[in-house]
Amino acid sequence: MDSQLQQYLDGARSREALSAEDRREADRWDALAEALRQEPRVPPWLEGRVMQALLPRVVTPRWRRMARALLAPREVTLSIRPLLVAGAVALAAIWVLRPAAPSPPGAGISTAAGDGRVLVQFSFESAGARSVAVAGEFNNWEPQLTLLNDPDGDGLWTALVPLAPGVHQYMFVVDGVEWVADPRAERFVADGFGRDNAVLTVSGSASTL
Amino acid sequence: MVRPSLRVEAGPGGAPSSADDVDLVERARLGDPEGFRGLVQRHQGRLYRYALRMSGDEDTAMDLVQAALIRAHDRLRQCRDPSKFGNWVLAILCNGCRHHLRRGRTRLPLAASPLESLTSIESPARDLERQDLRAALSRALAVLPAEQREAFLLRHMEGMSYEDMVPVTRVSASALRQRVHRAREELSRLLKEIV
Repeated sequence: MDSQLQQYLDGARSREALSAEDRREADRWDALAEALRQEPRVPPWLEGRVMQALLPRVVTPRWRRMARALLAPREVTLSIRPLLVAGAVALAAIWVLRPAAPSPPGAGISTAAGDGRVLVQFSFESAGARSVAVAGEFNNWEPQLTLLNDPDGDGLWTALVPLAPGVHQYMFVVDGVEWVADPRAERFVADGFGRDNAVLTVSGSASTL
Repeated sequence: MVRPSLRVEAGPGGAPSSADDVDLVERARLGDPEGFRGLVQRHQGRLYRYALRMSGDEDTAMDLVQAALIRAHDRLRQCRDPSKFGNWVLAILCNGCRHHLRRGRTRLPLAASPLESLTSIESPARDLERQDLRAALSRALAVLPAEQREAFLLRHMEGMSYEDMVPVTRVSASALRQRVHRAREELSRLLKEIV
């Protein structure tokens, strides 16, 4: 495609500066754009559906959400807190846990989940978040399915997730909307949208982790 | 004089005027449901069109738009500039579309497509003239990589400048320009007999 035509379509060149051939091609692009911009007829029930979905929503006060978080079961979080304190030097991290095996901070220890899967600790630091979830291939990229907890409200969100051995792509989802790649992931792969998914490799044998 | 072209910067392809949005956002923030209803009415067409072009499925587009509007409602206080509510909610929708496509649940149809079934607000005769173009365009869009389709639609369907696209996509202007250029190249190749 002619670079001058590209510039014209970018708004960086006037039509008068185009060659006759490029002007004809520009006309064809105009026709294409016109078809593209044609607004489809919005299903008439869309507005009602949205408003109906909003009406029954009850917003839980923040103090109640915090109280609920504080009173929530904490055994999982408490079990890994020493590791987190020792290793929390970055915004987020993943530890693979191994029971009864002291490990240097950040090195990762593991435990079998009992069915061949390995419990993986996801953690993410975000003081202002209302919710944090982890979404990945292991939960079909569902942003609300695997929520992290921050029971003490210190902005450190954690969750233990059983994962099958293998390679997993994942991202954190803040407030159900903002997708964030784990900055401490071992590696990243392009997600096809110009960003990177974090990649985690879970060993096939928990005892070797 | 530069005639209206694919490089449109505003107008029918872009967001509704922002003046009324400020008032509606304020009313919605104060708990007036009619305020948010007004926002839905003003922006649903644009949002639905984008979701439809990205997902290729009418039901999916409905779900994506509904989810985006509900999220916008819940996060309305985070909309720092109510005059840009249109682009703000579009950013939420873009994110939802990305997530949906990332899950691989959407496969754009290569034959019959929403673009072909669009009902024009203009003359039926002109509609008929565009049938072939719509069909070809629909098939070509389906072939584009999602990131190129996203950039192309924002640039040419929504009429956004690259600078305005940055906060919506969180991608640099230079990268967006490159994606749009590649999309044009690919569309040009795919629509060789038309463009």
